[in-house]
Amino acid sequence: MATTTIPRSRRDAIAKRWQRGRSGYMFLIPWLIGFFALTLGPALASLYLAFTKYDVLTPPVFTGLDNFGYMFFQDYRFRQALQVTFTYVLWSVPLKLGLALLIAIALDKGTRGVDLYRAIFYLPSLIGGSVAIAVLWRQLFDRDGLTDQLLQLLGWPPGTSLLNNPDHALKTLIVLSVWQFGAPMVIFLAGLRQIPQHLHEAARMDGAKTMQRFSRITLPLLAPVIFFNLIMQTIDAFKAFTQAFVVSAGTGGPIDSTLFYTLYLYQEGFAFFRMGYASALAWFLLIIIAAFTALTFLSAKYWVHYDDGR
Amino acid sequence: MADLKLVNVCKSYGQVDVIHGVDLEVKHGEFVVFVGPSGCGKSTLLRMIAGLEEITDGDVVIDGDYVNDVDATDRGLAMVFQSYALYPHMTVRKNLSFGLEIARVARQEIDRRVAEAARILKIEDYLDRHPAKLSGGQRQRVAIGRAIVREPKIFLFDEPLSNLDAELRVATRVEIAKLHERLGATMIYVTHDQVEAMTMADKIVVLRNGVVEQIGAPLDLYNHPANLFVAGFIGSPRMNLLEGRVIGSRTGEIEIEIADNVRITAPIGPLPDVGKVTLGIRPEHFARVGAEEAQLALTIDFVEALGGETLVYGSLPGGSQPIIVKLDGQHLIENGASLSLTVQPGQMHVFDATGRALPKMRATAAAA
Amino acid sequence: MTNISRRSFNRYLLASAAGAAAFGGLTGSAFADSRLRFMWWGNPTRDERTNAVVDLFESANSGIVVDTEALASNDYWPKIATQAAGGNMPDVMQMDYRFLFEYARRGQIVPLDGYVGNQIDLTNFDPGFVDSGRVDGQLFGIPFGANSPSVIYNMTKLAEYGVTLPDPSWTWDQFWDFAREIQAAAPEGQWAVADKGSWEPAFDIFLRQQGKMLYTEEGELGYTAADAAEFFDMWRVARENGLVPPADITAQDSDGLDTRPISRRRVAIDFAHSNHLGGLQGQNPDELGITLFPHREGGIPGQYMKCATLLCITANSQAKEDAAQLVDFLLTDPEANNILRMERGVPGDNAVAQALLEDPDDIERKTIEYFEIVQGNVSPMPPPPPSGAGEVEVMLVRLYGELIFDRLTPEQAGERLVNDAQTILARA
Repeated sequence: MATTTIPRSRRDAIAKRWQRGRSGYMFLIPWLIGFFALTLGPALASLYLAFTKYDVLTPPVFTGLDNFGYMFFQDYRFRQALQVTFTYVLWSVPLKLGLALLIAIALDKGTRGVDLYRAIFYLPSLIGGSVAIAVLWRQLFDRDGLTDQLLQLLGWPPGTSLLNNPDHALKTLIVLSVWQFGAPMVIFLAGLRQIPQHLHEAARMDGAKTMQRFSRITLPLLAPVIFFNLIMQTIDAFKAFTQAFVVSAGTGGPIDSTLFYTLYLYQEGFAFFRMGYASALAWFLLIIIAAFTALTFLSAKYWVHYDDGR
Repeated sequence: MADLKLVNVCKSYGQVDVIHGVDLEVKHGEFVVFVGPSGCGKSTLLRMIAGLEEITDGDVVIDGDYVNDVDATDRGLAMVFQSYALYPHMTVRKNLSFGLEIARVARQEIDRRVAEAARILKIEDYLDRHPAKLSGGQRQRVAIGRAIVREPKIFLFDEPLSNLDAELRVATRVEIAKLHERLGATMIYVTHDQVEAMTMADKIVVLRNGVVEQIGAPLDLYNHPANLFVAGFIGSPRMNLLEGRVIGSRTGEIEIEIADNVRITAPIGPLPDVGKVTLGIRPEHFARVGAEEAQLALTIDFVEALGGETLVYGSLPGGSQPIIVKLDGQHLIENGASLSLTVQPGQMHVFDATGRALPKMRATAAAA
Repeated sequence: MTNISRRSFNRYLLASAAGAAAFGGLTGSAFADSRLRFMWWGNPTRDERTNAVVDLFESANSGIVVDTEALASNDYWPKIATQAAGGNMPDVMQMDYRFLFEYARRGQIVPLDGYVGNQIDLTNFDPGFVDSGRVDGQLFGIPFGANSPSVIYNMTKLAEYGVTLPDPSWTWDQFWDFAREIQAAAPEGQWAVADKGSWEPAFDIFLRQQGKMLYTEEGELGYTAADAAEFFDMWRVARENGLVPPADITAQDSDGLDTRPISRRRVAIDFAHSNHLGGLQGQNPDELGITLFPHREGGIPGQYMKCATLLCITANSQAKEDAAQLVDFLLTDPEANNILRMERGVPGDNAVAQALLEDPDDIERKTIEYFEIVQGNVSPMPPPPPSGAGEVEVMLVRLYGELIFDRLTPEQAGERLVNDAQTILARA
């Protein structure tokens, strides 16, 4: 008798738990289907493909570590793509966050019309990543374009086409990205609003001047928000694709000066049909992003303070 | 440590005037309390002294220097905020030393002052904690400590006790008072609680709607409220204010009718116009007497026996005005019964129709 | 016709039964006998004309519905490759000669020999021309118009500058002399010749004029680093003499006809496939002309007739006979070709081409005149390019960028081209 009751009670418990969670699981099903079919499945497939030679037209052939060997020891375009991407990340993220913070502080101080300004400043983020804007920028930065004329006013030689010059194309894209400071700005603004006015006043009473209050009070208290923005923007920057694709017509040119990692990955996979190698590149990008994120998290304990005293 | 002078200080937000020309002198080492109901402008006035609010008109003078245009960062004052405003990302030690570091005080000196303040306030044990890990009372001490280490010219307190529970409030009140004694510093303290004001202040400034109603020592305000507002605000339970009519005026006294056939004689000089007045009697200034000596016979509505004292709520026969009487000790009184009372003439306050107090005949009061 | 209809009718029954079983008979498309997909890369003119012809085909073959999709060539190949991987390629696809062998040998497209003489009528085709669609002896693609790389020039500008185009038998030296003449007359911001050192067909012709080639029969490189350096150096000299635009203008040159230097009205002379004459003319208010590539002094003819685009039927097509029907219609129907005209080049069906000749427009007249000259100056088609050739072409563009931006000398660029091309071919 005892031997039969134990499993039955366990079975009952499981059934009970299932019944309790059933509607929850039911609601979860669409997401689960999407997750397994559209995210996890392809991700695992690409992990396998990373160790194959796969030209899309014929079945993949397992090649072990060949892709990674080529990547690390022979592929100079891979190195170029890394260099371009790191340059982009290391410049665009701090510049963008800096500008976002600056504008957020300016908006935080003002009282009248803040909502309007906030909307206006956010606008570039909505449209900035779009193809249309990239095309527009292409026109702006073309020879005889608006920037050319402006630069001539500043004494540059005529006929400067920033986007078609390998020395300036990436810088131009960095500026284009900095211009889309809206999303982090809105988050910064919310973060600034969270800092009690009393703390600023207390610091004033303690004799702290504007810059001292900014560095000693505002920045540390904003650290969790900065941390969040830093992670999100870094990941975003590593994944940058659209602008370079449109501005260089998909080539990463001129002469690979805007060969973002994702663009190179795309070229290898979809222009040259090396899907296996492209998968390897994709997984390496994942590792890079994970490493950067992990480093940021590890550094957090030295500079991010949460209100609850952790 | 310093003295402070306010000359016709005004504050307006656009069209709205919140402080109407305040004049005040605070002497070195004085403990001044701004008291008044919420919205009276007491905090605004304090923040104007601090430099956190701009001054629309008038002058703020600290130690003889006009500081209107001196920023809060440079006035050398310290403030304890109602919310404590401790820096959440700093340890208690850092919170205390922050202002000194900003002022580039030498490390040793900082350590000495922090240790001293911690010792005075008994917060040595949690110097290395963050504020989030402290109780309300501990935070309060840190906030005060942050002011102490700065050795400011003037301490400003903005309702520092309002976030504490009743017991802690009383204890801290006493400590602040002690601290004042120990440091001998000039302190300006804002509260809406008249008990705090009475117990702590050398000088009380009663504010209402941005106007100073009266300035004076606590007992001065208690004994000689300048007007109906101060009379009602200072003292607990509040003063009974009975509307009446002057029906007779002689040298040194007037006769006031406060209910049908209830007349009281108050030691006030002769009034040019016979008319409406308000008679103020503090609950504690009634005395229970035999029926034959009674000036007043109160019909009792309700009795609160507090042990050490008894509060009696009642009204005059034929009169609608409620009266509170505070009697020492314990009294066996039934609801509905009549209570015979008398009032010493010197304990009566009479206010004219505009609410101003009429001058008492001091000699009579003293004689009584 | 009745034959097909009956077969189609049977399939209609089957299809609608299957459709009814699978989807409860809800899909409207089940009422079509057969549904084909047809994809091509092109340009607005081509897309419009081809869609009109497809409409014509549908009205002539009730029961066959054709879904069309036109893309830019940059997007076309990734999409085709992805569909190949997913087994859902279109039934009929436009093919590029350089990919014909890859797709054929990987079994993604099917031999058409069985349809020739049945659905597809090639009697009016030049057999030699048809053979360019053969892979390992089997016919995998049928040439969809012929073209040849050419020199396109701005007639209006040349007249304006008061210069006269030399005879089509011109040599490279004469070509650059002429360029100097133009440059002397050109205003600032205008140059004589587009810098096309990155254009593989130009390099191809340059090599063939010396009896060399891009790829050998075995799929190896048919030139040396020195050959490439010589080609690059020719352009370097032109660049240094200011005959071609500076690097940043050249860098804007990309796939679209509107980005070509001649369309952006930067140069008087450009290079393009002959079938693009119409498209380029559409971008330009000035009148354009077309002529031969310059020749090598003492060399051999380098130009050849290309079947740049072909039509293929894919292995995963479920209605190959109907697809063959569509292919035939596109290639041989007089009415259809009166719509398509010569946009993809001169039609391979001689009867059709002849019909167009009776009533040519200005562009067609020029093209035909050009073809008459080319015919006498061609060498045979080169062997098919190996896998990876497409990537080498892209790499050449990139490498040339480094050259014009002075990151490399012509010699270094030649070395790099050979090395990188070999790496790419080895990885393909």
